[in-house]
Amino acid sequence: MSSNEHSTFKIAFNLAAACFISGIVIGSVYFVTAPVAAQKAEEMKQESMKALVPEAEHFTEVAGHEGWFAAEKGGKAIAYIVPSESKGYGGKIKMLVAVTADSKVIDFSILEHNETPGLGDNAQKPEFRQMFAGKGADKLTVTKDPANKENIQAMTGATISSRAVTKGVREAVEAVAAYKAEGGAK
Amino acid sequence: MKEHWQIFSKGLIAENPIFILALSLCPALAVTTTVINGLTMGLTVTFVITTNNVVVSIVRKWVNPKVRVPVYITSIATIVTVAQLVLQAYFPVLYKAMGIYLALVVVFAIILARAEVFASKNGVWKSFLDGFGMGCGFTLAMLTIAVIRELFGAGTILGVPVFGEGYEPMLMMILPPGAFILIGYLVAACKTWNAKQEEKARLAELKAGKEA
Amino acid sequence: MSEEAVKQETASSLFTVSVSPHIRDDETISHIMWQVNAALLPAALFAVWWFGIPALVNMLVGVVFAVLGEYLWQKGMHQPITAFDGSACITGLLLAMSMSPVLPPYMVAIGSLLAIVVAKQSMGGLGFNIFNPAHIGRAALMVSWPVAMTTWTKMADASGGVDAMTSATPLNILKMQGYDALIATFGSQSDLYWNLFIGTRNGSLGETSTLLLLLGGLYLIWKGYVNWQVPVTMIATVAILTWIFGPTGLFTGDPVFHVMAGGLMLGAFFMATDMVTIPMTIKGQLIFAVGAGALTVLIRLVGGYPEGVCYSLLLMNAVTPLIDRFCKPRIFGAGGAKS
Repeated sequence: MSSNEHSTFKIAFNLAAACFISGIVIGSVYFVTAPVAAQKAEEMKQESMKALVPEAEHFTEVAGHEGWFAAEKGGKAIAYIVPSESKGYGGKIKMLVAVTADSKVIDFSILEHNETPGLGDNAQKPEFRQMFAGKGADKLTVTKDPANKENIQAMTGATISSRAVTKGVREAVEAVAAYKAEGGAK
Repeated sequence: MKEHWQIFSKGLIAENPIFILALSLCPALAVTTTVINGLTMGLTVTFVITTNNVVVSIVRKWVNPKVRVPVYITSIATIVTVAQLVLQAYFPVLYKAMGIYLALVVVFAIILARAEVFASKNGVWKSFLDGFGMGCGFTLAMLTIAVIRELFGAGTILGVPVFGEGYEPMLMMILPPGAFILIGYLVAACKTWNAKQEEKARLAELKAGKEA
Repeated sequence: MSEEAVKQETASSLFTVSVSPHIRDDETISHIMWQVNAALLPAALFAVWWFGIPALVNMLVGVVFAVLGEYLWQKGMHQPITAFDGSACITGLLLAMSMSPVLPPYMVAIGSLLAIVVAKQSMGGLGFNIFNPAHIGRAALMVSWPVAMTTWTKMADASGGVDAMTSATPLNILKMQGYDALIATFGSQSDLYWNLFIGTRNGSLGETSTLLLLLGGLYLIWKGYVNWQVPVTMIATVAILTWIFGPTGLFTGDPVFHVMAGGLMLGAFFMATDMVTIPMTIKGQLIFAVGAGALTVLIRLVGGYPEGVCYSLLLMNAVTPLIDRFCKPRIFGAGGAKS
C-alpha cells in the first residue's frame, strides 16, 4: 500500500497536475490582462511624448530610425522625439529628447538613471531642464561660471551628471540636424 | 475565537516576518523608499501568502509528500505571476517601481515557510488566518519602514509634503545605509517589546499560581 | 651579548607595547580625554578668528549635542552617566571641526546625535565602538546633505595675503582645475605653502592651520597619550605616494601641498590615534597608518571626492579587527617557540 502511494506514476501525476492547473490559471489571466497592459503602455508612451511636445496632435514613427517619433501638427512634423543615452556618474542615463525641426531643444525626459539622489538626479527637475529649451547643439556645453547664461549651468556638486545629460541631449540634437541635412523624409 | 485571533495576531509583532523572523529583508531595504511602494509590496505579499496558504491547505491531502516543495513553489509562482500580470495591466507605474522585487516574491522564504509549517498541517480557515496575519505583519513592517524613510528622506508622505518648503530632505534615509540603520533599531524595538510581554505573562502566571 | 642580556633586551622592549602586561597609573580616561580636547583648542580658537561666529556656533552645537545625546541615552538606558568624561566632547568638537563653517547648525546637531547614538552608544559605548564616531557622523551628513556639506565660505580678503579666493577648498581647485590653477589662486608656490601652513585658506573649520594642529599633536605625543609612529607613518605614506604619482608622470607630485592640504593633519594626529578604533599593537598600528594614508591618496588622486581622510580612516577602522588578529602578540609559555 505504502509503496503504491510513493509510486513514480503518482509523483509524476502530482507534478503534472500542478503544472497543468498553473498553466490554465496564468493563461486565462494573461488572456484578460494582456490587451489592457498593451493599451496602457501605449497610452503612457503617448503621454510622455505629449508632455515633451504639448502642441503636437499626434506622433508617428520615423521610418529608418528606431525609436524616433515625429510630432506632427496639421500634417507637418514640428518636432522629433529622439531616444538618447550617455554615461553618467552611476552608469547609463537613458533619455528622450524633443528637438524642433530646426534642431533646437524643446525639452527632455530621463527614462532611466542611477545618479546620486539629491545631486545628479536633480537633472530631472524643471530648473535644470528649462536651461536647455531653445538651445542649439553649439550652446550645449556645461559651464561652472554662474554669470554665464549662454550655456548650461552645472548642477551643484554634480558636474559629471550635468555633463552626461548635456552630452546626451547634444547628441540627439546633432542626430536630428544630420537627419534634416540628409533631406529628412517628409 | 480566541485561538483564531491568536493565529492571526502572532504575525503582527510576536512573530513579525521582518522584525523577528528576519525574513525578506531584501525587499524591506529595496522598495521602502516611498510609502506607496512599500504598501504595494506589502499588499502583494499579503495576497500571495494568503492565497497560497489557502491553496496549499486545500490540496494538502492530495499532494505527495515527496514532491510537496515543487508543488508549493509552482503554486506560489502561479499566484505571483497572476499578481504581476494584474499590476502590469492596471497599475503600470507601480509595476515599474517594484522592478525585479515583484518577481522575487516567488522565493520569499516567509511564503514557503508558512505553507510548509502551517498550511500543510491545518484546515483552510486557520491557514487563511495564518497567511493573512503574516501578510499583515509584513505589510505593517514595510509601512513602518517606508513611512519613516519617506518622511525624513524626502519630507513627504504619499508624495504630499509634510514639513513645508524649508525642509532639506535627509537623503541618507532613502539610501541603503539609512534603511539598514533604521531596520536595526526597529528590530531592537520589537525584541524589547516582546521581552516585556513575555516578562508580563510570566509574572501573571506566577501570581495566578500563588493565588491558587 | 650574553644570552641573559638578549633576554632582558627583548623583555624591556615588550613592556612598551600597549597590550598586557600593564602598569597602574594615576591617569584616568577622563583626564586623557580632556587633554586631547585641550590639544585641539588652539586650532579651534584659530577657526573662530578665521571663520568668525558661525565657526564658534557650530563647534558649540557639536559639543553640546554630543554630550546631551550621550547623557540622555545613558539616562534612558539606566547606565552610569559618563557623558561628561570628555570623550563625547571630543567627538562633537572633531565632528564640527571636520566640516564646513557655513554648514547650518542643525545639521551639526544631527551629525553629533548620530555619531553618539548610532556609532558609539548603540555599539556599547566608549571602548566598544568599531568606527570613529565623529567620522560616522560626518559620513552620514555627507550622504544626507551633499550640497550643504560641500559648500564652503566665500573668503574675503581677510589676511591680506590672498585676494578674491573662490569658494572652493585648495583640494577642490586641484581636483576640478588642476595644479596650475591652484598656484594661480594663491599667487605663487611659496604663498600656497605659507597659507596652508598658518591656515589662512578655505576648508573645514579645524583643518586649516597646519601649524596649530601640529602643535596640538606634538603636545599629545610629548605627554605620551599618542605614539608618534601612527601620525608620522600616515603622513609619510601620503607624502611619498603623492610625490610618486604626480600629475605629469612619476615623481612629479607635490607632497608638501598634499600633506598640508585637507584634513590630513587633523586626521593623522587626532583621529588615526583614537585609542578605541585602531589596532592594539604597534605593528598593527603601522599597518593601519599605511593603509589609511594609501587610501587617502587613492581617493584624492583618482576618486570622486577631493578629500579622502574621513573615508580612508573609516575603511581602516573596519579592518582593524583583522589587523589585530594578524598581529596577535605571542603567548609566552604556550609552546611552539623556535629553538
